[in-house]
Amino acid sequence: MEKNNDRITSFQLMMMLVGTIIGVGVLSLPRESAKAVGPDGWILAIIGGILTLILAVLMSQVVQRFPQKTFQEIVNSLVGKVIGTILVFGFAVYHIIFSALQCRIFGEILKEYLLLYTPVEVLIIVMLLTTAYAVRSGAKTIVRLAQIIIPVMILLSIILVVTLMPGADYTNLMPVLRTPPLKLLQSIPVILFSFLGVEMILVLSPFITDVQNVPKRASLSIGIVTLIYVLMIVATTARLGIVETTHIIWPGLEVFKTVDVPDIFIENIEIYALGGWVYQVFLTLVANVFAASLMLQYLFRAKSHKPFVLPILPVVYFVALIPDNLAEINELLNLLTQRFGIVYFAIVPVVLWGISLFKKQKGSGKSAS
Amino acid sequence: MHRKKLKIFLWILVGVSILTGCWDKVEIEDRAFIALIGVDKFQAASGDKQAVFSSEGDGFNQENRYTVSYAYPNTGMIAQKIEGEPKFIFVSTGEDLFNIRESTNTRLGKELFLRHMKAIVIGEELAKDEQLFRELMDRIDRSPEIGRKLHLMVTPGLAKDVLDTSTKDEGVLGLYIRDLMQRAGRRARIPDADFGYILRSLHESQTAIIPRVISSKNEFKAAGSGVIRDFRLVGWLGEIETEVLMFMMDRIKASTVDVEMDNLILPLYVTESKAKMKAFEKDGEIIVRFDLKMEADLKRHLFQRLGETDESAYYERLQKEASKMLEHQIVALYKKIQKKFGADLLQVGEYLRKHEPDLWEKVKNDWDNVYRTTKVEADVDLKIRRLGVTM
Repeated sequence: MEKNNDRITSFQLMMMLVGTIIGVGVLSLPRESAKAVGPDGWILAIIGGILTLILAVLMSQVVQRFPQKTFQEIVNSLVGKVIGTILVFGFAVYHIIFSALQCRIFGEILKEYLLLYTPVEVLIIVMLLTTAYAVRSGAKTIVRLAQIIIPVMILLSIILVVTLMPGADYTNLMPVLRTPPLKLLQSIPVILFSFLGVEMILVLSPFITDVQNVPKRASLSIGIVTLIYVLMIVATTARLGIVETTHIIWPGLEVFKTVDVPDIFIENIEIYALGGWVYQVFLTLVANVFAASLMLQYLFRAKSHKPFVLPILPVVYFVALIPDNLAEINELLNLLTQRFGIVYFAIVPVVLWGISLFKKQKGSGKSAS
Repeated sequence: MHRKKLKIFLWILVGVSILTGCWDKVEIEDRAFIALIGVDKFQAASGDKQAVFSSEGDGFNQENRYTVSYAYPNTGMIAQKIEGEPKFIFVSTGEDLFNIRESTNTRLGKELFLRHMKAIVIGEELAKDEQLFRELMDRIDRSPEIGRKLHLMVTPGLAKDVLDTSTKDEGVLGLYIRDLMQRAGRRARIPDADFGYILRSLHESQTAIIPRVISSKNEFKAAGSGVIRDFRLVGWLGEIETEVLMFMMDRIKASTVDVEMDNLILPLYVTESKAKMKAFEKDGEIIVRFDLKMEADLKRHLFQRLGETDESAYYERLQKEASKMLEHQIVALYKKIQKKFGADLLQVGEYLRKHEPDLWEKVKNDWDNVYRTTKVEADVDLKIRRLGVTM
């Protein structure tokens, strides 16, 4: 095995962030945003992007303050051992439940559109085994995966969005900013789910070599994600109109059905979008399972995260099969993001950053005296 | 040692690539690629023996509500391998659309495959039945396999008859209909309205137009359109009305317009048309205004009529005459749609929501009634650009 198997650059972190943040949510994002704020969905996405950007910068600063320290070491030194252990444990549980729901939605969409007769259990198991293989190979392999997949994915999504551009009715985005500002602010939790995954900065902190570049690269990745989201929302709303967008479960996928490339023997473009999306979900899943196994490694003070990967899988699998149908999955997912996700996505980073700032001042004051 | 490992690896690779297969494979010959579906309301006395499979001995009787006809091309013949009928048609009845599809699978020995479906034709009776029509729309909308580029069409009479039409030079009926519809943008006797538009318009304004297809023994005609309001067919628009409507909706670029002047009927070929709809409030009334800019070629005049046809004043007069005629048609059509059908086909409400949100807030709760009181104005600016090669 290579000696420096757990060293990644900030560029690789950037690719990994794009891969983690864009997950199953991207297909239902236009519906969620249209439901909340009508035609102003793209503005909501930009607001969400800016908020996430701030959070990402805060997290990066925490990481910069503790270079090459694990999540556990960071929280322990900032909030003490007891709360730190609870936080690490919660983080593991959060990632496990989150990957379970990701898995389930992945299975549901694939069964609905591609593999009509394949049992959803088989889809989930196959995906999980592939994930386990990738996760066991360690941080470096995972980010290399992202490094290969993401550039292709960005290119593919741009090509796909370009096919949506002609024939779209952009007046569907009117009237601009008629939503009351208060409602816009209240709808921010809706967009949050789509930006979950930024916490990976904290998870990957012990592996990053060039810490000084992290804020810049992390911001860039959020920029890419926001751009893709805005394009997606604009194209979908323009092509389907608001009423239809709120009506379809996965408008981000269904919108490709309205495309007919004349004189080319390509029908059903949605299949290609779906193909690219599978890679995206795979990366998200890998990141989540990796984070969960890392947290367990810290809790049990083990030397490696590897022994924890396979025991996680059955848990993920069974949690994934708990909800009865999509309606229930969506409700669970909203609950998870708004109660649980927000803690690790927003509250923990802000608190950590605040304390680290406080301690730093105290520390620097001490050294000066 | 290394060589051995490599060998094992290569064997595994070969094994993986050769031994894997599809989880749920269906041979391509076992698939019926449905190109066209006709859906009718079930009528008891149709007397069609082929269609009736009695379900005797079934304690749980189902009420027949639909008659569905599937047409699929004889793929073998298209590939010029075997002789025979160019297309197959299966007719089936049942209570529910999905139900019918499943039971057809049991009769056919082939799997119905809808991903390449091009068109659905619905019969007049079905279109007039709100319950059945809504069920049909939801069935298509909900289905992951059916594309939104599909053409939904309505026929006076039975959809089954449309499928039975034997076209001489086209084997695949669905493709034929698609070709017909793709030319719609150029010759606008038929609306340019695919399923995506119909869904959108129905969702937003509870009204839409559906292209009309008429069939005789061995010919099709796609012309005119049916008006859907509140999820049922409320009436028809003729060919010229459809054409004018398409001009108003800015969905066609080219068409022909016949103008009568000095006891002469002159065909003008419109090469360019740009329409803009505006709705605004003036003195407590909502005024809907259409501004059209068109360019046209003169295609025929009268042989051996010299003198005035080389003067620009003559063409100015013709332009004015044609513009006036079109303006008149637009106003008349708007009033017909408004008064007779009460359908907001031009999506004035949507326009207000997008462009005049303040006004829309005031009228949206009572839009159905307010729409009926809107006034219409039209301004057509038609220019004759080309005269052919004679003066």
